[in-house]
Amino acid sequence: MQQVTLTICGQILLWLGFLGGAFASVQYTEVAEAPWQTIPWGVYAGSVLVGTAGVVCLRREKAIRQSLSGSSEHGFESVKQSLQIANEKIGQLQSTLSGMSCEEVLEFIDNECVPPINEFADGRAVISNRFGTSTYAAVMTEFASGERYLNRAWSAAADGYVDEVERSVSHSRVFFAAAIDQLKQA
Amino acid sequence: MKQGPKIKQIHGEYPEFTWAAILVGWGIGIVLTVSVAYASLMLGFAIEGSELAAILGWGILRGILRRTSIVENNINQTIASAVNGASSGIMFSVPALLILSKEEQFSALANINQPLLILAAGTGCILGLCFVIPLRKQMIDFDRLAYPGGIAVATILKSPGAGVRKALLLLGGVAIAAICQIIVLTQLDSDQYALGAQVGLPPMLNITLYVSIMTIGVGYLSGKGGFWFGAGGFICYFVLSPLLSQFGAADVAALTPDPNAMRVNLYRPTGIGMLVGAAIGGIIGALPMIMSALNSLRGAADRSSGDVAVKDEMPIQLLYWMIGLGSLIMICIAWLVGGGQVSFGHTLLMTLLGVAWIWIAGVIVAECVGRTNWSPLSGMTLIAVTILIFAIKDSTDTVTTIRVAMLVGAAVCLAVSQASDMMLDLKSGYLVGGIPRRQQIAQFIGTWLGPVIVVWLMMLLHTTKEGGMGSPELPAPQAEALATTIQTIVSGEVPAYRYTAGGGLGLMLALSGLGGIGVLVGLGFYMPFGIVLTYTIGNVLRVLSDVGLGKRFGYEIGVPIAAGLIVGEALVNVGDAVIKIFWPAPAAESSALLSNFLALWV
Repeated sequence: MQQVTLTICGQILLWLGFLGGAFASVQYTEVAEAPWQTIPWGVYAGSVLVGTAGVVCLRREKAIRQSLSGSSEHGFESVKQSLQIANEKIGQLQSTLSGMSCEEVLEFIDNECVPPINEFADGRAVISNRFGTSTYAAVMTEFASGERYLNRAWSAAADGYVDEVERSVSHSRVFFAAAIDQLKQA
Repeated sequence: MKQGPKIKQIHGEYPEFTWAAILVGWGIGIVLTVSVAYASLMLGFAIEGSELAAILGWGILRGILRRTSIVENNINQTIASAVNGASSGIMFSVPALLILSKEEQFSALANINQPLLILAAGTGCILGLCFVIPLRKQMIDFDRLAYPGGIAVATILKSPGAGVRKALLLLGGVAIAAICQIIVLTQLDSDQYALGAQVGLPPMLNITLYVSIMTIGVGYLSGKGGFWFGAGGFICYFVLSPLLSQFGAADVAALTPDPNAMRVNLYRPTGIGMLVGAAIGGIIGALPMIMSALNSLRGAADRSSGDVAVKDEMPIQLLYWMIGLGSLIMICIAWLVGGGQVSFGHTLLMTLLGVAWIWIAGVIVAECVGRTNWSPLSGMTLIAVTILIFAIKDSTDTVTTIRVAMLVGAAVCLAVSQASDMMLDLKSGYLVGGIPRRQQIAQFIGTWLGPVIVVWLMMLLHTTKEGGMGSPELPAPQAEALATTIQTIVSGEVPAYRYTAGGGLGLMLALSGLGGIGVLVGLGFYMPFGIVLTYTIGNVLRVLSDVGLGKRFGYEIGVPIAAGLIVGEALVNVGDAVIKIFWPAPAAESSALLSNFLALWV
């Protein structure tokens, strides 16, 4: 309830303040003899003050939401699970690579690996909400490197460079495992 | 691995950073730069070279040289677009000096020290890259900004392996956009469609669509992340203009039926201020993330993936050294160009402000391009020139002020242009699995060449074309506008009060914690509403397709088509620019040529 009130108040105050400030900013054409008097600074300052009150409400609401979402197991577990599935799929790719053709690698990456990666990416905000920016940065650093190497494996498979496919899948696996470790350590 | 039915297996190193990529990249870059720079002078607009470079590289590397590496072509397009980055940066700024020099009091401006100009431009490019490279982690890895242009380039690069279906979707998008754009160019009087006037809405609402299917594609690729860009435009014309018509001052109320006048006089300067305020607020808000990204770059060796992670990134210390060295070179250049007329203190102040502005403007432009694909380069250059002129204005004469400020301003303009190009290329690199360090080195390899070619071309055209720069033979519309603006700045008539007011609003939005909102709303104030409206159509289509058809449909079908729309329209615009340059006089003839081409295609 407190959250909803803060959101509504915050949004109303922010946009009222913004619109008031924007209106004051464009209300007059330039006063030739004293250009700085073109803006009614009193009205402008009042509007910015109202908007700033909205900013305070929104930031307060965000802090509450972060602490709730951080303590909510559901969202976090779902994101963690996506990362684990992605890691398992890449592990599966790595272990079966010797028996696969390049065409099959492309299909496997597109159909099996990409969906959990996208799911993790879409829900990643829960990590910063729960553990803060430094853990988020550490996890995303490893995750992004892993995803980039998987993209490289895809490109290499499309071009037929089989040694690079093996190397890139292996690197990707290391980075995804590191991302999971970072989450566990958090 | 076993042999498949179609893809032939190759053993050994995967070609990426090769001489073929470098030489083809330089070759395509030179051709693009000469063409785009000339088009910039004749027509007043520049063309982003990445998509074209990827397609040409595809043809040359795969078709002629029989090389089969997606990441090698990625290096080629990175180098080519780095070379081309100088076209707009220089052609929109430096010719202003030559145009101003036609007036008696500014005649001394015609003596441009070309080696120093090239050195300043090259140094600006390097500074822009050094400032933006550390932001890769934050903007691409952490924030995962869309960079629609980067997605389009990656889709082209990946098309050989994406399967027939995706290739057909891409080509379908290219064909649709090409046909639409040819129709726009040949059959319509303007690329603006006054929908509001057709249905009888008041002109102040400015319901005029920018007829560009590419813009819809860009909006689609940006998705709901670009929503606030549209909101900025709607606030201007659906909220503020009606309010101003009723409660604004009489002269402003009288101006409301003319949306273009409203934008130029009121919304655009406020939007520029908002962009700056939002960028500063954004930097403050993202400081913990930026610090984490820098720590991650510094501590790459300590990661579990150790060696691989270290080899992936350029050493951050090297970038710091290059920034320091680049700043010193800029101070020396400004001092030399000032010819002892500007005190060392003022030179130092001006250059340091210019360098600081490169960082701030680099952040603004990288974020704008990442979220919407549009770069407020002209606005950032305008502010740079304003800051630089004000920094030394009282210490020397007007001619020296303009000469020094424009030289450093051109460097800033190039730096910002390179920064946005680098981030766009790094995004496409991320999507095809390129190694960031190799791409960053490739950008440095390409970036020095552009200024050499463009400065040479500019002086050649100025001396050989009758009337020189600013004449009907060589109109240079953007530089003409900048020359007028410089005269306004020198005379002190800058709407600094509106920039300040906008800055406060942008800062407030940025601190609200609603990600990227300040920059996007500011950009909505800054850009013509027609573009904003058409872009919003793309946003809405993406949201509808995600909700109705699922996100997978978006990734699998929507993205290749949208990328094709961007490529198709860009290609037709390049063709149109070539026709306009080589067959300039009778518009009907070039129109007929395009019509015949369309008929042939259909």
